[in-house]
Amino acid sequence: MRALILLLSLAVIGLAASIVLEAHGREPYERRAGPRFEVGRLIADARPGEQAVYREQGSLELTAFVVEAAPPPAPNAVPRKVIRRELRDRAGQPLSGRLSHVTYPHDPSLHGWFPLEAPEAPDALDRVWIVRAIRPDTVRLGGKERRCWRVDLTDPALPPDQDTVVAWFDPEVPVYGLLRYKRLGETWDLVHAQGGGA
Amino acid sequence: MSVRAAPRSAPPPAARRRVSEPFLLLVLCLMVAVLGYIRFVGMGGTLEADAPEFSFRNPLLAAQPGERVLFYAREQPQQVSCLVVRPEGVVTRPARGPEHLGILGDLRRERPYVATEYKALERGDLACGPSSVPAQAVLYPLNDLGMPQGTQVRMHSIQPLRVRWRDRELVVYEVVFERYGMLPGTWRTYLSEDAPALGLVKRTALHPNRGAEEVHFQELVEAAAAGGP
Repeated sequence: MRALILLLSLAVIGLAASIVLEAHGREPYERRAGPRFEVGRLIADARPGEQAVYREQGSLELTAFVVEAAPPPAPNAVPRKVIRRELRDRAGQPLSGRLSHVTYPHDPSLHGWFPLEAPEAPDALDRVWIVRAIRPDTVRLGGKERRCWRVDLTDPALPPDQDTVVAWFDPEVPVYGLLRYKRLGETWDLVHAQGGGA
Repeated sequence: MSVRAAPRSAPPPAARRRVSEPFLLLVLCLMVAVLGYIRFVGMGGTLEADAPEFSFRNPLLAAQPGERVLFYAREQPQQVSCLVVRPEGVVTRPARGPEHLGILGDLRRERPYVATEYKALERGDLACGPSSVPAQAVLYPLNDLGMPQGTQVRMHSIQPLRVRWRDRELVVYEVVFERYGMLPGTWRTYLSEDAPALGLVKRTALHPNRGAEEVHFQELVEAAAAGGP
């Protein structure tokens, strides 16, 4: 009988301690947190030399984004990145034309964390994509499933019935963190990444 | 010769043990059962279930003209202002929007925004009605998620939190920014689809030199039901 009492007493003490420890280790109810989308690990932490190349599924043409520089900001100013966008044909040769090779300063406080469709006019802020929705997702790319963030956007430069852009982001991918994006019926997939965590 | 009363005989120790030990055993069994229920049923596995899922929809896109909220700084709760969504509402194509709003100009090349105005409220006017104090137009860029135009911010993260706000349980999205230029430091906005106007519930700042400050946004149910501004 005494042994049983001793055993039950130990069980009471153990359970009480377990409850205290469990309650202490939890976040308070008022601040129960879900997953975090770390936007600051996309273009904001890109480094010079990072490069990401995308191939369009239909035309097989290529678009490359390269971080050319990350100049040291003035005191208390937003750090910018100098981005070069190159348009190439399916063989990887640069396309002709004024817009096939454009360099612009990316200011995250104005341009956000996505590529500019009109990098030749970085002051045309009315063309910056608008965030509509964000959720976790997976994308199959290069035979592998990759966990990422799906971001639904609006491109205000396009007519209202064609203005939807969908982009999948992974902070491990260099430059903008883009894995894939769809715009105007075209799907662009990451085919080459250099630098960053890729 | 006095006769000493015979002491009342106490139960022999063995009998006492027979009474108390089963009782103690019963109490301990009950305690184990209750604590076990709390630990493994009441607390077990609820952390994951209670964590909000990430399914963010930009609440600024749902702003409707005439929607309004009161706001005040935690340090000065008596100085209440009113934020009203202007008739222009959500402007997704600034190139086709107004060129000027109040003293703000050159808006056709601005980032897409929600057009609002601020009114400082007169004492006791919590209905946020027409005010003798002139309203001031303020734009909220759609991608800056609760930070007004003119603040230079770079977004760090977005995360859902389950919180209590005005006696309701809400999932809010905490957006963390680094602000540059004026009032630099770490700023946070808290947004909910269930809050009116911009979806803003709270905005906080942590300045390197000035410490923390909070601005609270308060729903104005009765005024919103009354109609436009």
